[in-house]
Amino acid sequence: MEEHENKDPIILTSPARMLKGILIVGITLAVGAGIVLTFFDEMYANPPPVARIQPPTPPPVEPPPAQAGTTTIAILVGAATEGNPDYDPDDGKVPLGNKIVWNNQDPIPHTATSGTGPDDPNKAKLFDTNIILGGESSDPVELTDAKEGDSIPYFCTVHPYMTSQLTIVPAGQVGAPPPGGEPAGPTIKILQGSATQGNPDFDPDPIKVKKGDKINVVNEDNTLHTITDGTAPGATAGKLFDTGFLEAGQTFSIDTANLEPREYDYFCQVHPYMQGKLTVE
Amino acid sequence: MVLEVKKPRAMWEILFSTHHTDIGLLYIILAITALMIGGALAIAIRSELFLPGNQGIIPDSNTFHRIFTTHGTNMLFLWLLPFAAGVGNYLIPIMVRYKDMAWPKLNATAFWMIPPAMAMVWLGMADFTWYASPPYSILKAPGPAAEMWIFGIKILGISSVLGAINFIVTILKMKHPDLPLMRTPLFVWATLVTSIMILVAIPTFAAALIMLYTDRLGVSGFFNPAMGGDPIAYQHLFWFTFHPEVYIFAIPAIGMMYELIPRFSRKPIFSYQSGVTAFVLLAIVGFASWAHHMYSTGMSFTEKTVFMIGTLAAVPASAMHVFNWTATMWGGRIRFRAPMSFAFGGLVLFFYAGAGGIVNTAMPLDFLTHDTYWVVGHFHLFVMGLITFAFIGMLHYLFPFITGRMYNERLAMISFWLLFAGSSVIFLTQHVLGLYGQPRRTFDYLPIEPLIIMNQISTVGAWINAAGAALLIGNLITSAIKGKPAKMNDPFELGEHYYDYTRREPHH
Repeated sequence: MEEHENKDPIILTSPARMLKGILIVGITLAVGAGIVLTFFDEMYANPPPVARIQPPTPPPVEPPPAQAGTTTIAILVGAATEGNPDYDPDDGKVPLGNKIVWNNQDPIPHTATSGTGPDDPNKAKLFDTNIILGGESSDPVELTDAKEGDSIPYFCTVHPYMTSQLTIVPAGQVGAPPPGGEPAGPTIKILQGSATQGNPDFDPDPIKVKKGDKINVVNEDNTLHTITDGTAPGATAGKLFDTGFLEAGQTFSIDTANLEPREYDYFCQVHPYMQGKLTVE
Repeated sequence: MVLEVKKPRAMWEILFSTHHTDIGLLYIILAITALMIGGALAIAIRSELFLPGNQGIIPDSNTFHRIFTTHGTNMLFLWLLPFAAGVGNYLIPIMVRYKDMAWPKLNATAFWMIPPAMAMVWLGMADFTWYASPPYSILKAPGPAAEMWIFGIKILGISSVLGAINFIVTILKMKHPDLPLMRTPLFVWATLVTSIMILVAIPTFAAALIMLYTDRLGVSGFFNPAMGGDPIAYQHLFWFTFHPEVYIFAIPAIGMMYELIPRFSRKPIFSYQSGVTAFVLLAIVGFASWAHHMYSTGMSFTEKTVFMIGTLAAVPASAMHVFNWTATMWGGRIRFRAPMSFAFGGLVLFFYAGAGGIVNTAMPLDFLTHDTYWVVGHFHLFVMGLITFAFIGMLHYLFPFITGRMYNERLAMISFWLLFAGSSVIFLTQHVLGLYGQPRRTFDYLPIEPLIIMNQISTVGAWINAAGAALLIGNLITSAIKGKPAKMNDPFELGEHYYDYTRREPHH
């Protein structure tokens, strides 16, 4: 590159010129700020047009009369939102040989497809209703190879978090009250909110049981808990009894037949500040 | 060649000029204005968060949302993009030895689309964050602010595409025939790569914006779950554009560092080829990592793994740049004038940002940091630490070229130290704040001691930054009118040729 010796004057800015430039920018900004402040609320006043269009509510769907040999399962309104109740009944009991109809009460399309989710290699092998539009019912599904006691998971391909299952029960058992109710024997409840330190955790605490009793443990909280003997996680914890991880709503039965009559400490391995006492007489 | 202009031209001549340095000047003035007013919003946000509860600086949480949405949109699209385009306008024709940009009128058009777009974004002040994520943005976000934002961003996108086409044609077609592409400065490569990325990335979001708008009107339901649409689809379209956009912001800054570091180290670049390779690599892998913003949307393990690997692929390319700069400085006779200080500070903050980024990349760890202040700290280290520092360094380096005068070196160094200290304090603290679980985009937080203390440290950092920025802008303005006339052949006394200042004025 040639040596470039410039003899041209270097044009420099004068204060007046700079002031002029600052004024141009400043006045523009001031006008803008004035508009922003004046119309601040008006700019933020109108809901989007789509919000004014009422979503078409399907006419209330009367569940079709239950025919002999047909089990109806409803897909509830709002099921498309993750976490909402979806299929009703959720753990549907289907008498052996019955046909199943899904009735979509939600305005949004859904399916009932066998399998545990979109990743299940065996999905839709047993049955698939295909898309059930809002307010419509599926074609009756017949389970040909099902046996008594089978449990068949299914899900919605549109909303894979909508999962449920069918249980095949002996023919004629439908409508019978679910067995049980309050389980017999002593019960330890893990109370809702017990994961937060300082909240009440086990109920009742302490508890006295007779040797040989089976203690029912019910996790009423919405997170994982355990009941494990000992006071803190370590090598000795869980040697005598341990429920393992109990998910929300899960139950476990502790057999006290092998426990010597004395007082035992127990705790939750997930939340070690949850401590309780158990006396075997 | 006769230089016709001996005294300053009338201002309207510059405003309506199509000459590349005039448009570059307009871009830079607009960008710095946006930096200052966007920075004022940031100070309001941080001051409001000095204590939990309502401090009265921002009246309510809706206003808070509108303020940080405007802050984010403004800083990304009205500070980073226009500034890079401004420096590109100044330097690219000089570097490829052509008289102007390939299409000067298109160039002016691209610039003049920005002020109306800026007006729409600022006058509306939408509240749905710079992601505008549905379903909120289509079902609830109040208009006309939201519509103004959508159309403002639309116009900015078109402006970017026009600018990018112009840069690509100028570099590839108007380059002097004796100048091979592999002999052009790395800043030319940076601009070329950025422009190509803009052309590939922007159309996706341009389509998504139209879909967003028709969804708001209720005539379509692409992202509206009540009409069978999928909000997650918007996130894919959005991030397919805006993850590459991160590199579109960063690569010009990296190119500027390649201008500054070798000159102030008074050594040639350690490896020109690896710089070019790293630019091209970044441009490619930039498109392979968009869904790492979406790990928590319920993707399958396989998808997450693919995007985790795609993201990690950007690490070697970024590290090549850092290594290249370090090796260039190594053994050099470094002059820590303000441009070099800003470049070096940017390098340090880039390193922190990259280290934090690797944590986000690892998907199990991302679930801990997702949507917390960690993310805020992380990406601000990029956009403030690396990019803004490189830009401000470049602004100081170009200062004699733009104004013919020298800035006040001592004030510039003080503003550097204020900005460097302030930025480190704000954003490194915010990482820890995120680990304590403070969610981002909240008006209020739990009044517990660790959160209060760290928010206060972060806010004090913001005030330090405000002082630094005020000093910076004051120094630039006063030096432009009263500074010592610069020695235009080598204003920084580096023993190198400076840009030819006669190029500042059009000689038709």
